[in-house]
Amino acid sequence: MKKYIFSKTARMLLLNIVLAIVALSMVLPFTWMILASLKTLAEVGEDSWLPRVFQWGNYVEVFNIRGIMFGRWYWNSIFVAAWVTFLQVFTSSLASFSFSRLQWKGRDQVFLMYLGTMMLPGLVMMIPNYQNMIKFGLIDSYPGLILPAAFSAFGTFLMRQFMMNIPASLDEAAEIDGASKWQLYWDIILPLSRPAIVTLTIFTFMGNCNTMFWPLVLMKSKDKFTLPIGILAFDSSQGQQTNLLMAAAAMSVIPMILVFIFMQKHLVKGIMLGGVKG
Amino acid sequence: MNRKEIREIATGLGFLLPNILGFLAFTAVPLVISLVMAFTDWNLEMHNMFKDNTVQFIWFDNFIKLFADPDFIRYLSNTLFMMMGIPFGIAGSLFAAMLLNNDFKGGSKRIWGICLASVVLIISISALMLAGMHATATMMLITAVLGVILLIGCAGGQTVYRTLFYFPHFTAGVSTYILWKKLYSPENGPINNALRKVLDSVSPFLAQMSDTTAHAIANIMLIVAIALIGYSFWRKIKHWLDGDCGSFSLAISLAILSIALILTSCWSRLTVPALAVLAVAFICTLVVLIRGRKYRCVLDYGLSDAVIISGTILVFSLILAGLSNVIWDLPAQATAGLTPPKWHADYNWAKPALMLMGFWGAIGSNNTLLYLAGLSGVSQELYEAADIDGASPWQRFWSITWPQLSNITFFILIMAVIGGLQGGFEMAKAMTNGGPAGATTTLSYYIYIEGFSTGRLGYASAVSWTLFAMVFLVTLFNWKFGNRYTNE
Amino acid sequence: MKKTFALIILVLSVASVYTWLSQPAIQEDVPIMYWKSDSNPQRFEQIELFHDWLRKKGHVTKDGKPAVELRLDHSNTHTSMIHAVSGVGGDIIDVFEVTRFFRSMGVADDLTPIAAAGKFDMSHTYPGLSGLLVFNGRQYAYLCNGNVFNMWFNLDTLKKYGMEAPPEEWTPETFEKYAKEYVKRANADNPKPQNFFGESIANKEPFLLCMSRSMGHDFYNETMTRSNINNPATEKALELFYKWTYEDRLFPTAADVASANEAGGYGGATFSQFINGKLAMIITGRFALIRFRELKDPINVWATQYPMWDFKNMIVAARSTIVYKGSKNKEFTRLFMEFLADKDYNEYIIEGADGLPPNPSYAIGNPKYLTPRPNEGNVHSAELKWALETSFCPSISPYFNILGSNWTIYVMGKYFNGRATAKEALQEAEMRYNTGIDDAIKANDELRKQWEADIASQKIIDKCKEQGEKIPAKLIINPFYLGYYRAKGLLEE
Repeated sequence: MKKYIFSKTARMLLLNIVLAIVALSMVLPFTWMILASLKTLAEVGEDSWLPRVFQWGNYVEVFNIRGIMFGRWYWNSIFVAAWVTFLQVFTSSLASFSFSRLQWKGRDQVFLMYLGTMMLPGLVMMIPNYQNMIKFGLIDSYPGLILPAAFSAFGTFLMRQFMMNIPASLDEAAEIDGASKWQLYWDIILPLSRPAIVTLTIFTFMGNCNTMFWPLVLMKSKDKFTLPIGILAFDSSQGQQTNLLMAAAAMSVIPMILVFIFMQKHLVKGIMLGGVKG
Repeated sequence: MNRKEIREIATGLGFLLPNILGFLAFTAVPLVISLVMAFTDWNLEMHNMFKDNTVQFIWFDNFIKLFADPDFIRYLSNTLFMMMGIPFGIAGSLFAAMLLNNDFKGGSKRIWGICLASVVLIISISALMLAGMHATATMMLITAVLGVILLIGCAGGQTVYRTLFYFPHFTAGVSTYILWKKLYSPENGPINNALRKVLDSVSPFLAQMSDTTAHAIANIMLIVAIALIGYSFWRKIKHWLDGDCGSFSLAISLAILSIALILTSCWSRLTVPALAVLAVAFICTLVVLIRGRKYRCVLDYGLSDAVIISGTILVFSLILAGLSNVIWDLPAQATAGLTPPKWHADYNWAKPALMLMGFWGAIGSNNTLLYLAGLSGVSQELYEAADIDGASPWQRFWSITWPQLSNITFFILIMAVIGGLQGGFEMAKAMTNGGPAGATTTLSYYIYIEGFSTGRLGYASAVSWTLFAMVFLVTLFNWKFGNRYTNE
Repeated sequence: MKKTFALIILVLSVASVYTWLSQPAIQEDVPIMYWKSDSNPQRFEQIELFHDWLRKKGHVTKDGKPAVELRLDHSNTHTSMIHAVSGVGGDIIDVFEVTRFFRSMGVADDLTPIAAAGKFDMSHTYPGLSGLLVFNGRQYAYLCNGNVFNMWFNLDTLKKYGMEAPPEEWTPETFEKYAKEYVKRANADNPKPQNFFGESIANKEPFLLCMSRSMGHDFYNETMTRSNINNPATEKALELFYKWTYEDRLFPTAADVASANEAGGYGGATFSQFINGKLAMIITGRFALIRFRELKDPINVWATQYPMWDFKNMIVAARSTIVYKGSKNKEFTRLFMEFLADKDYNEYIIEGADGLPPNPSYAIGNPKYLTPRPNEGNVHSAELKWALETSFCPSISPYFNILGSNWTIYVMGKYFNGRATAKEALQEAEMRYNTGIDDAIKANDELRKQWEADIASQKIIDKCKEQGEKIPAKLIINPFYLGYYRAKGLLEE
């Protein structure tokens, strides 16, 4: 019996070591990034990963480079993503309520069509969308960034999957109490969908913070850049200042890592629920 | 339609309204416009608000031009080339999921594990320090990071590792691409700094190797590749005979394997033997097919196995062929001193560099989580039964885990293919600008250049609709064969 | 739920208000004019100068503010074209070599009538630039500054390795000898080159062009109707580029460039490497002094031409400005053009060293321009001399849309990556340019008619060349050939 326990423990340890090595390879690039961001420029290319003296000043320096409005970009990213998230969660919850809790003719066909659009390559719509933005004068404006991202088939799908699992008896009870559909949505279903809302919020927020294509083509003024295209601009103008570039990259990645660590329960649930988003 | 129905529809649409407006404005209408644009000669140089020229319909001219356009063909093959990383990504996430699926909890084991891990950690660090060989600060640091992961992992189990695995995928974006660009720095990036040391220590040894040995190894690798394809042929036919694989799946599988064989032979020095294997394989197949089989099954049964295993074999044999080409003149190169690759600054290495980065992100992606969910759904009784039969872990995997997961695998594959066809823009924009000499320009980047830089909107739309058609084909394939299994 | 909802709305509105208030472009009582330009730090000072100039000239509002406020537009080069054709471009747009293309899109105002009155017509700038600013006899742009890119040497670095100052002109042979000697000395105790002779030439198209032209070959023919980049001179020059970079290791390869860790600042890493002695030579113009004058220890610089075989020539380029046709501030854009031609601006450029002044007459014989600082050697006088005497504009055909890929640089990349021989690379470039021309004239009737007329004159030119006769000057459109044939006595005026 003892022998059995020992062999099981050894097996466990081996498994842990393999897992730790794989995990290490995931973490190492980030380790290098943070260490490189704390080096002087001359040290960056050296074999040793460790800085001789930790240059915390690099992080301050990023905010002081002329033409690099890092703080502003950070704010813009959060601002745009917040609006997008709010609108998307709101519209998605409305639509998914209609798709899951209401009975109407043609509902499932419309839903299938929605699902179909999830497969569409976004690039197909980009050029006409861009032309429309020009027509409506939304080039180089925040609404131009926010509006196209505010409606999502994925969000609708995810929320619907969740709402389908809420027992139908609630609806009947509400109907007997004489509640209108809106009340049913607002007072019963929406509060019950809180887990799905939290999940979708994180998904949308993080996803939008990372979008690059649309801001890249839409924005003209440097003070309206979002972080991804800001970092691109940083790279193309100051790219060889590796330490500062890495400091900027670290500042944009670390909040995401933190969000992930604290919110991962919701995220995992979301992926299971959606089972889709790649 | 009675009144009640109309009212229901009105309520339903009412709730849908904001979303449907957005859908119309940003998806449906642009979609139609873009389709119309694809048939016109809209070129911003000629047709803009300061010019009187009217946009004309040129119908299929754009598409005709497209397929004669060497650039389009090249960028399409770039895209397809980059998609060869998909099987590895899937295999990686399956592997990760199977590791994570172990039982980490359980009383004494855990404490033992933590104790043992700390002992290993202390011993390894002190051994490093005592040996003094590579006891540089960097090595210490990496070992320390490993130790910390190990400790936390032993304590926290699945959650910790899952979190760590998931980082790359979650943070993927401009910042991580820029980070990798710096990691890949040819002269002084951390990857090449490490590689250079390894190569420096290896090259004297390799330089001593005689040409004959090198050629022998190269040929053995090729033969292994061909044998592997041959084995897969045989395996698939056996499946078909046993009723584990439908005729359609068999056809697809054999087609992919034949392509693998032809490509491998074209790329190597062994054209004749490879073609001989192909001929023999086909004759055998024909004989078997004509003789028919005892157990019948539906046409597309075992499709995901057919596609994925054959695809993996295709990629794998190409890699073996490439490696054998490298080994062929390795001694000569080693004498001159091996240098690490120039990664994104080199035409031949740029695509592999991006694929390697993609693999890093793919190991711990959503796919891992889906696999994890799938694994927890596999009935334990099956494994117990297998244990009683005395099956080896290898057999257990191929006869239980793999078939049970085939639905998920198929779904993941389809999603990966759809994503892969549209992919590559962000990497190209952040890391290489489509270069060197167009090596990393994918279709999406090409559309961006044509549409937003050259201003040939009609042509760009035609390219994007061609892309759309490809995605649609894959989706159709999914509808036809996937739904049956993936509807959970 | 309601409370959360209200709270979210409140937070978002506050954030929106904050964002709105904190952006620099809040409406003011004067109109705002946007200037699409590059990210040179001196642009801000130039904007101030323009505001001062407006006050001086009396273009003010009632309360003494300048009548218009000038602001920078930072859209990237890719999208600025789309913005322009869609009616949302900047009021004035800086263009480097694409003046003609902007004209053919119809977004540039014809400046000919006001240019003569406002004294910014062609007689008030560099003769070599006519190919850039003028199209079919109409002027569409005026320049902000001129540039003759040339080779700058850091004399301190050269001295460190015991090298003498280089001659102002040289042949490829003397150049190679000098550079090899330098690289040998600078990397004496290091087998792997750390100190390169000059910055990467992998995408220095003008350098290549100058070398080709020195043997009498341009990238386009005499009438710009066909590309003939596939010629022996270009091939020879391209092979030299390869040899210098990959065999002699005089210049860094693409991989070396990708690995550089360098301080930033105006001009980027290359300038930093030049300052700290890792590079002895960079290819630049007077504007580099913006960066070098900030240094505590000024470096001694020296300018030379590119190495050339026979016919000495340089390339004059300009950051020129077009007036956007869709601008709503037309009268102010005119003022800006006048400002560019005016003494204040020219003197500012002379002092601030942001390239050559638009109007060379302010610089000729002006000691403030020619000899401002002892450490700046011949860079001022040489650049002005070359701009006025030996320079032609870059090779740009009006029939080719140059906003897409730069095929010359593309095929250079292919050749340097071992994907093609020099000959194949140039063949491909020629094919690409010619297909581009075919596409353009097929799509544009107006352009096609002109092209056909030019092709007819090309036939006559070819015949003259074949029979060894003199070529009628009026048939030649490509300014380089005009200058070249004139110098060789092959021209019939």
